[in-house]
Amino acid sequence: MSGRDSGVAEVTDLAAVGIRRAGRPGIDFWTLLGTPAMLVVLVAFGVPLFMVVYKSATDPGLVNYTDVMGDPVFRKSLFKTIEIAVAATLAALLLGYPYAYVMARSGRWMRSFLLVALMVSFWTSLLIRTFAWQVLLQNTGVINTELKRLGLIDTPLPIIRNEFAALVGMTQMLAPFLILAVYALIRAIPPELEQAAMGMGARRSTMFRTVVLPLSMPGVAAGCVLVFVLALGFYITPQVLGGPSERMVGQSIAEAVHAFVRPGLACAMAVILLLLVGLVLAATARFMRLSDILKMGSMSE
Amino acid sequence: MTQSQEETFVKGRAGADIEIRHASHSYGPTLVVDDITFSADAGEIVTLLGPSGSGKTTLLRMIAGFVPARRGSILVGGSDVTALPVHRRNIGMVFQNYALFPHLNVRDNIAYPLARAKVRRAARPSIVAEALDAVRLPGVEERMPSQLSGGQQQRIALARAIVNRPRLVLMDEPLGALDRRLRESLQVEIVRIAREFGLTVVNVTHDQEEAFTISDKIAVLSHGKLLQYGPPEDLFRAPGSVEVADFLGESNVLHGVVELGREGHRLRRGDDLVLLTDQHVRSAGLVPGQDVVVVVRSWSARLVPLEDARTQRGRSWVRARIAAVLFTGDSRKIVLHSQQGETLSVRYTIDAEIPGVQGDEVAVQWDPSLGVVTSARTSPQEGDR
Repeated sequence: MSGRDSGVAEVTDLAAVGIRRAGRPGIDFWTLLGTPAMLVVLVAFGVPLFMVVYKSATDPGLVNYTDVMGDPVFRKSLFKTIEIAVAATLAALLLGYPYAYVMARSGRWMRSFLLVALMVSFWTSLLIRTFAWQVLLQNTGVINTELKRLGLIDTPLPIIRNEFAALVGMTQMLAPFLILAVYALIRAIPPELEQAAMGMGARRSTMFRTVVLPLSMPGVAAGCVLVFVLALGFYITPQVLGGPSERMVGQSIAEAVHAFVRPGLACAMAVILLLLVGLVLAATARFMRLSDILKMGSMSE
Repeated sequence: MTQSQEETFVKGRAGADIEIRHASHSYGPTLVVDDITFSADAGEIVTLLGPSGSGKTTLLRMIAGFVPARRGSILVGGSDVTALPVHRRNIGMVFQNYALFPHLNVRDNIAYPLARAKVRRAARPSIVAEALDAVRLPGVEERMPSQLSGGQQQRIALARAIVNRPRLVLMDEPLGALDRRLRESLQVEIVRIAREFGLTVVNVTHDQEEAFTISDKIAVLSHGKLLQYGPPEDLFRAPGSVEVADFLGESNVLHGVVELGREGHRLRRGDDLVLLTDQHVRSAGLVPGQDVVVVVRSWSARLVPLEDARTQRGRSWVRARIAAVLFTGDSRKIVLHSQQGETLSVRYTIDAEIPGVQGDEVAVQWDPSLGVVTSARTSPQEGDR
């Protein structure tokens, strides 16, 4: 064997050692680096979630579930929750899609303005925005006072403490998620596609129907699922703006804790709500990659 | 649409003539298209050639109708389309990024203009098949655009642009995204298809080779202005300005002051002998003492030994030292430094013998009538020749 050959063999041996070392489980650098984050997730989310599930079945027992499902008030609030979530999703879509389209296709200044307007509202605390809506909508609020001053109404319009007000508030909280989801998709459509379509004889509305709408559908679907799922868990906004008769599940949970002092019952409700969310996501996962939706959800508060 | 109308729709129409009259457009205070006027006959391929920022793409978008003409008008087939919305201009468009609809298969992509023109559904497949035959890609109707190569996608885009026999086909850097070989074969294809269907094509490119290969007429644009317009050969033989000459091929730019010598007008440049023909003097209105620029193409100049250059009469030459001899694939490029500090280049075919090696001092010689002369400090010539 020549000296050169043995040199090669030496290198190969070293490489093999290196591979073996890297392959040893548990001491990989990135694993090490990720461990604190994983611990935080485990302690902050995993443990409480387990406690909720555990409590729902043991405090005092599985009777929580039969109590909850047997309670017509809870069933009603569950259906109401779904109904409001659907309505908020539709409203967010109707308002958000045009906003997203204009934002995606306008010039630099207009786009920056629309984006900043969106982000300012997005980054303002949900609590503050909810109370701002209260200031606007209440009987002695801005809208009713102004309309009265202009002589258009005598008695305040019923726009607070009802489902309408809750819906307005929730739509405003949730529309940004849908707008950003749709915006990302529309930005990905080359403007040349629109130009080609119009050059080939499509008027703007036809072009929109045949090109932009089908190509932005994934964004619409992702945005809608996201808004719907988030809407299911709303509590503060419907509590402050909504009426006493139509309650969402979040409010029922709070009541079970505060008024009835039955944490086990509240936990059972939370688990049912969680299952509902899981069901929606599982159904969606059959049609699209869930990570795309969750990516947008990570911008949530 | 009736059957006979469809027949006409498919076979009877050809491209229209086009006329641009004093077209201008500005973004804010900057004129990006500045008073451009030219016209082309039906069935001609016109190329708007210029560097980026020359206004060529804006002009194309004005012809398409995406950008309004602030001033001037655009006539297609004799009628003014300046105020017509895009979808009623009956144009076909080809883009650099193909712009095929990713959610539609090839058939539906090509049938898109047919659907907009309300061609009966039953009549569409045969028209689509014909268009695919025309671009020599038959039988791919069911494929999605993403399943095709770049070259194939551009053929489909071409088929889609011609399927309803538009009066005008507009191409925006159509071959820019393709590699060289594909680009060359598609250049030939574009010309063949345009001739076969009598299409009027307005093409935008910054690639002068492409412009020469496919065009009947070339419009050279720079800073929003039309520098020169005409058939490629005319532009190449008689560029109207240094800018055009420089843009249309590798060339040498020589500065100097006009003086009257024994041989007639020449440049004052040390030992160098840069002759100006009577034609130059007359057309550029040269007078002694004037600063001028002479442009000589790399392919027009030859290298000769200095002593030969000194004895030969009636030819221009510049003394220079060979800095490098480069093999560029299809030719050899000789890079030289003149005594005045200019970098010059001369082109030879691969098999030609080069009279000198690196470091040699030689004369770069040319026929004075092949040089282009313009005044050094005037703005480039505008408008039509």
